[in-house]
Amino acid sequence: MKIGVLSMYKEKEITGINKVTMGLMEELLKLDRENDYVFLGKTDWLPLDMEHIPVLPDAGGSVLLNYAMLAHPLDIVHSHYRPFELSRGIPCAKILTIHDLIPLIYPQWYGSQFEYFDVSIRRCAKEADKIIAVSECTKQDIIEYYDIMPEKIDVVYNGLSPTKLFADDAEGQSVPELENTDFIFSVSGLGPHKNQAGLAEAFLLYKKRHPESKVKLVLTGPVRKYEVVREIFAKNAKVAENVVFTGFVSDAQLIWLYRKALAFIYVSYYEGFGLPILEALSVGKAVICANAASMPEVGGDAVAYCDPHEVETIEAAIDRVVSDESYKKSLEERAAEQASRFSYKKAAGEMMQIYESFRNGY
Amino acid sequence: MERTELTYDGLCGMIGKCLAPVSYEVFQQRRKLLVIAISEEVRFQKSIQKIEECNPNIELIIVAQMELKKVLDGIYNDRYQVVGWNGKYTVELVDRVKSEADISGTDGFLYFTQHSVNLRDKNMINIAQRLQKEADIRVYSDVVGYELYEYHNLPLYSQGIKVYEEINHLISLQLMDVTREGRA
Repeated sequence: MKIGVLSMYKEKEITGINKVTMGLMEELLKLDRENDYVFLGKTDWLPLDMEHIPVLPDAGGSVLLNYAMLAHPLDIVHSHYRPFELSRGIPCAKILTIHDLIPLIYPQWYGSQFEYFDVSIRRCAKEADKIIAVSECTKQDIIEYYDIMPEKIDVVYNGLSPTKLFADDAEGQSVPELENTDFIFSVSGLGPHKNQAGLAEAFLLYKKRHPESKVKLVLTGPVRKYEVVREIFAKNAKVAENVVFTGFVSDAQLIWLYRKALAFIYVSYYEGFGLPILEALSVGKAVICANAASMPEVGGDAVAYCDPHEVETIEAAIDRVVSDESYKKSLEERAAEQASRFSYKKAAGEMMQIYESFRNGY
Repeated sequence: MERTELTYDGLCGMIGKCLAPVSYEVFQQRRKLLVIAISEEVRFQKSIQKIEECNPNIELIIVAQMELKKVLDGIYNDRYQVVGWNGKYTVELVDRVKSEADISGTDGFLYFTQHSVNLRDKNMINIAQRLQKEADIRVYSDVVGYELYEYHNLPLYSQGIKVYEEINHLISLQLMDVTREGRA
């Protein structure tokens, strides 16, 4: 079969959904000797050795594929979360991967994306012959919000990409100002659902209760721009001496931060999967994470859970991991094994079975 | 099928030939640029910095959403005029800019996008064509990764995209008819 892959926009630094596409495709291209893969759109920015079909990228959110598919027939189009406009008369199976439905769950925070998810992605989900959810949690959300039959949805978990970044012998690069600092580490996005405010508040509470502690909280990513965090800065004079905002860091620095940290913490209200949790577990780190959405699927029994809506429980989890060495060690011992349950090799094997189910039509 | 392939690839090729990758050094030849800002502050500022490095004497008129204007005023106010705009950028902004800034001598238009060919940029192309009606203006887009493209023959470019969209729509309608006949 010939399978077309449709992913996100060109990026300078490959992140998010494109990282998932890359991780999955790297393994599929290694494992799959039966099928041919072709990328829909330019591949000059993707480090994948794949044939491509020129596609004019975007028409108000949807990619117009009718013309391309008539000229370059495919057996399957697999969209990694982009709505495609493909007439039903074109003989081609349609697979859509859905990572999360955050704008539908939190319209108060993501109003500008609500329509895109409520109209374009919903239509694409209805048209798809098969939907891939990246977690059971996302599957349940698809059933609830899009009213899709469960039989149409398969769960294929994400893995780690690039795998070499998280390998035991991967070289990290230190962040000089943190070389002599004990810290708890977290990565953050811009969205309010990431709950950076709750995290900062809980950490400051921990510091208030343990004024002798020299531990700091380190946050990477674009959090500096986030208004709620700015407010916390304005209200708490002690933030600056206890919380370090690194901004964006390189992959090599990221791996160094994961390894150097006392523990990793992720108290998001909602995740479709929760890649940072898997990244931290893979380097054998003790992880504190929210007992919400997909995160327990990724963390299993190898992490310390807290309620992301309750600052007290976040603070209690921080306190226990920092002060109870044997507890921290027990989490570290379980981390790598839990992480090993997720890989793009496994995901690629599962995807091949799904593709195979379309061999005799759809 | 071979004929269809040629037509498809030919149309994509024709659209693609209406633009060319160029380096930031092209701005050495420009005197005054009208720039539509993007909310990605870091990307925008780096791009402006690259333009300034290539041509320290260049004049810029920046158009930005009102919220961003406040930020950009703080950064560029002593050097460049920032014109505020609310909502989607449309050709009407040309009149707004004219009313607030001196656009005489403008010989370049720059906007930011995700792809060099992007169906979502019709409004930018419309603005560019409106500007070109009044003066000899070169049109550029800054694509993710600080790649720069110059557009030639905008009427052909926008016609090509229109044809692409219409063909897509016609195929859809035709196949819907076939499906209905099949069911009947």
